[in-house]
Amino acid sequence: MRRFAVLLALCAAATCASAGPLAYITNQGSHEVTVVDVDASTIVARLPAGKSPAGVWVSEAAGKAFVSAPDSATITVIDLASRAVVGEMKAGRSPVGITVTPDGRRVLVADWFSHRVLVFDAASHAALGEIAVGNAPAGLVASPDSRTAYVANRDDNAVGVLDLDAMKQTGVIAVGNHPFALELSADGRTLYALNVWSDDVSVVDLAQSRTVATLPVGKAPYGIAFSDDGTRAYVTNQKGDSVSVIDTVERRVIATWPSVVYPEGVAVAGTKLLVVSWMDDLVGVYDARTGQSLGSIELGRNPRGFGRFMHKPAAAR
Amino acid sequence: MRFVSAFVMMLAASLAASFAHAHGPTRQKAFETITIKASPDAVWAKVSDFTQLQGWHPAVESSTATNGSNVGSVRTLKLKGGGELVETLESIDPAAKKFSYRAKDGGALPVTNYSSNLTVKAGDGGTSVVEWRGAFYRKYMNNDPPKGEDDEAALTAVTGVYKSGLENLKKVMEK
Repeated sequence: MRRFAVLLALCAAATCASAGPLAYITNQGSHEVTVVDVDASTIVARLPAGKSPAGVWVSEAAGKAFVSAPDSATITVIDLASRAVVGEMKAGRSPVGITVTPDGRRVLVADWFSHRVLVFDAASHAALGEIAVGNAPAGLVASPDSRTAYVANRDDNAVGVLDLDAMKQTGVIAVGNHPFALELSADGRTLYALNVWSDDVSVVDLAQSRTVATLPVGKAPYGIAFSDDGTRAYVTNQKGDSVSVIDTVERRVIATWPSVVYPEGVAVAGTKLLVVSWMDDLVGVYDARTGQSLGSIELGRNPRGFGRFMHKPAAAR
Repeated sequence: MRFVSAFVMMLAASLAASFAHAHGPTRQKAFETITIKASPDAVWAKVSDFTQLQGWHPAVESSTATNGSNVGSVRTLKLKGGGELVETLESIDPAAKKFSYRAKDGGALPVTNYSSNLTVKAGDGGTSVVEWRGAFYRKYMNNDPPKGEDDEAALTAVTGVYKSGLENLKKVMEK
């Protein structure tokens, strides 16, 4: 309660106008991150982010967004409070997938070509080590206790389970064909792997370490985001120009909505669903409950938004 | 023996290095659109026949297709002046007036993993708006591509196909 009052006071003092959700979207063709004020439907900052930035992870715990740029083999660090670039890390040969542990302490980067996950300190940006994983590691996500991470080893059709204390891949779980993006339920029990070639989503029960359901979606599922209450998962179908809506309780697809062309990154901000169109250089905004289009916002060139790109300042939640 | 194993190791290392860059390039795209003074139904009837690209694209001499305009049909396009393209129909949606196709190998085009879609929309005053989009990688999948196999060559080639095709489609439909 007290914290809430302090936030309200802060809000009244200075930053209320910019306290709404902000989307940090990577633009691979124009080498920048566009920061979109979702409520105002406008770009409030354009930040240089290495060469061909693709992956992004906003960590409120770290107070930073981390952006992977495969062509410059760098990670750009953006401070969420000032919305400014505050650092850059060299990262292997071709970093794509990226995540931050929920405690905000470690950054994990999938180095596509070297079949490793690189680990960095989120505060100092120092390299902490690396973990040998499977072939063509892509999407990454860490458990709520920040001790375990999961990586989509795309060319193995499997998810690697990483012990972040031992710095080792300790297990693999078979999923569908060509998994790229991953997401984890808020309770850390259910992992979703998006299989680009088999056009389905593997639902993995982590207690059993196995796929317990396979949900057919549209062509080339590429991005996933949950509703705030976790009961819905939204999956973009890159070659279907659509979004599949999954009921996470019943584990079934309950709707397929037409979307922007070549949809990739996706995020939820309250009742709004944001879907990045790689082809048309924009982000489509939809009613997350009905799929009704609410308009779009122009971005940079070839936007991706691969990862959790939404920053929800505390006052806006 | 020792020499041989050292050689094998070197070979393996160099193979690993070249494989490591196998996905080096970033995905490129092309997008062209044109407004045609003809109804969307008429334009769709023309463009949705997967077997008859030669009926409106000026670069295509003739074509064959394995299964007409059904999903999975593979068409082989013979180009004027030589060269071939082999494309697979991936989806076709008459209600949305949209179809998509792909080519793993670019054939006569300097591209790799090419996918494309074509959409007919209603424009103002009974006209049609045709949109043609493509996503692809350049032909040379390693680093440091030679000229003609780089991103620019891929982009120029695909853009040229779309532009000339749409311009001629307009001519054919507005005759």
